[in-house]
Amino acid sequence: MSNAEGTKPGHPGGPPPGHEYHIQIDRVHYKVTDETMTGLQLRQVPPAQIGPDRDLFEVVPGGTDRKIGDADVVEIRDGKRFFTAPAQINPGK
Amino acid sequence: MTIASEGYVRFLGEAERLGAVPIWVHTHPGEDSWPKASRWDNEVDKQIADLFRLRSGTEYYSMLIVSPRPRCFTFTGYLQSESGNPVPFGRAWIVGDRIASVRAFDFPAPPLHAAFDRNVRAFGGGIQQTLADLCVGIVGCGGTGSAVAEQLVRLGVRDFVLCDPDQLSASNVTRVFGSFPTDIGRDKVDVVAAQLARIAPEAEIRANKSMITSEETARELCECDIVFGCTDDNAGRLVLSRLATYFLTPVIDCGVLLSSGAGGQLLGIDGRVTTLVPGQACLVCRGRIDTKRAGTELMTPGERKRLEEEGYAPALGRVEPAVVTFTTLVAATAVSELLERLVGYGPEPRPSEILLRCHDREISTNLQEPGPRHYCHPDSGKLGLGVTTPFLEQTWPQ
Repeated sequence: MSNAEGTKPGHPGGPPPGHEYHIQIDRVHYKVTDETMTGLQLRQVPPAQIGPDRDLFEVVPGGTDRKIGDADVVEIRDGKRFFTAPAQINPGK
Repeated sequence: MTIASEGYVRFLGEAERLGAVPIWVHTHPGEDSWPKASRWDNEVDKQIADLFRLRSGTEYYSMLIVSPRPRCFTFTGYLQSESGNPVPFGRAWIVGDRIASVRAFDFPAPPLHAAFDRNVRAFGGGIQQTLADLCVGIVGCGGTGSAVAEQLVRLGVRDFVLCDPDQLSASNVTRVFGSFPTDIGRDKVDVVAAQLARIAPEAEIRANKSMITSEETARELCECDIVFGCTDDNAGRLVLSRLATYFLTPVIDCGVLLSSGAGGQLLGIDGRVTTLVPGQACLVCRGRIDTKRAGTELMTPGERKRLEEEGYAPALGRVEPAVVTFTTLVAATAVSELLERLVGYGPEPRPSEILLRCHDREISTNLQEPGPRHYCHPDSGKLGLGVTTPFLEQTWPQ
C-alpha cells in the first residue's frame, strides 16, 4: 500500500522513504509506508473500508487498548495490531 | 440500552492477559422470563463473536443468559470454537462459603429415585439432585477414603474419580469399607470401586492407580466438582491445596492422628477436617503440611535413603496406628461438611476447619484467612487461574 496523502516523509535517522511497515487490522496483514497515520487513514487501509458503525482500537499489550478517533495520529511500527469493534451493542432489542 | 465499545473492549484484553475465555453475559429480567437466546441475541452474538476471539486470543466465544427465579436463578449459555458447534452449558457450580449447583434451563433434572425419600425429607429434592449431579474425587482409598466413598454413594453421588496407588494389605481390612481378606493384594481403588458398584451399579467410577503427585492424575481431578483429600502424604496435600485455588475446586481434606505410648496405650485421638474454598487459608498457610517431609516423599527411593542416612531428610515409611472407629468418624465429619455447605444448616460465620479431639470428647472449629502474598490470597491473582504452565505453577516429578 502506498503512502496516503498528507502524511509526513521519513525523518533523519529513521527508515528510508518507502519503507514498508507490517501491521494487522482484524487479523489481516497489511503493508503501509507512512510513519504516522490518522485514524481515518487507518480505516481506509482494508479494501472494504471500516464503516462508522465500528470503532477502531490499537492493541496495547499489557495495558488498556487505545480507541483511535478519526483525527488521532498513530505512530506506525512493524507488528502493530489494530482491531475493530461494534461502536454500540444493543443487547436488549 | 446500548453499550459503547469502551464498555466491553477493555475486558477482552484483560482476558488475553489472564489466558481466560471472556463470556458475554446478559439477563432476561423477571422471575417468569425465558432465558433463551432471542433472534436479536443471536444477531448480537454474530456481531461480537469474532471480535471476542480475536482480542482475547482464544479460539472460543461464550455467552450466558441469566434469569432470576425465587431464591435462585436459571440460565442458558454455550461455548463455541471457531469451527465447532456450540456446546451448551448444562450446569453452574457455585463455589464460596456455601456451594451450590444450578442446572441450566434446558437441562431439567430427571426424577429422583424413591430410594432417596429419607434424604429428601431431610434436606429437600434440590440438594438430592445436586448430589446426583456431582463428580467427586477421592484421593486416598484407605480407611478414611473408603468410608467417605461409601457414604457418598449411599447419599446419591453417582460419579467418582478414585485415586490410590497402593494395594490392600492385611491390616487394611480392619478399616477399608467393602474389603475382605480375599481382597488382600488387590489395588485399593479396585476394592473401593467394586463396593460402590455393588451399591449403585449405574455409578460412573474412574479408578486411578496413581498418586496425585503425578501431573496426569492431578489434571484428571480438575474435572471433579469437589475433592476429598484422604491421603496421608504431605506432597499430595500440597497438590490438593493448589487445586482448590487454581481451579476453585472445593477440597475437603481429612487427617487422623492416633498417638500411642511406648506400651501401646492410646494417648491422643485427633481428627481434622479442613475445607478449602476461596477466601480461606490453604493447608500451607495453616501449617497442616510438613513441607520438608513433602520434599522427601517426592525423592526417588535411592535418593531418599541416602539423605535419610545422612540425616538430611525425615525418615518415611513408619506404620502409624489406625482404628476404624476414628477413621470413620473423621470421614463422616468430612461428608457432613459437604452437606452443610450445600444445605446451610450450621452456624455463621461458617468455620473452615473442624478439629476433633476425641480423647477429650471435644470438638473445636476455626476460620483462618490466607497469608499475605500467598497463592491462596485473593490479591495473588491465582484464584480460578485454571490451567497454567507448569501445571498448578509447581514442579512435577518426571
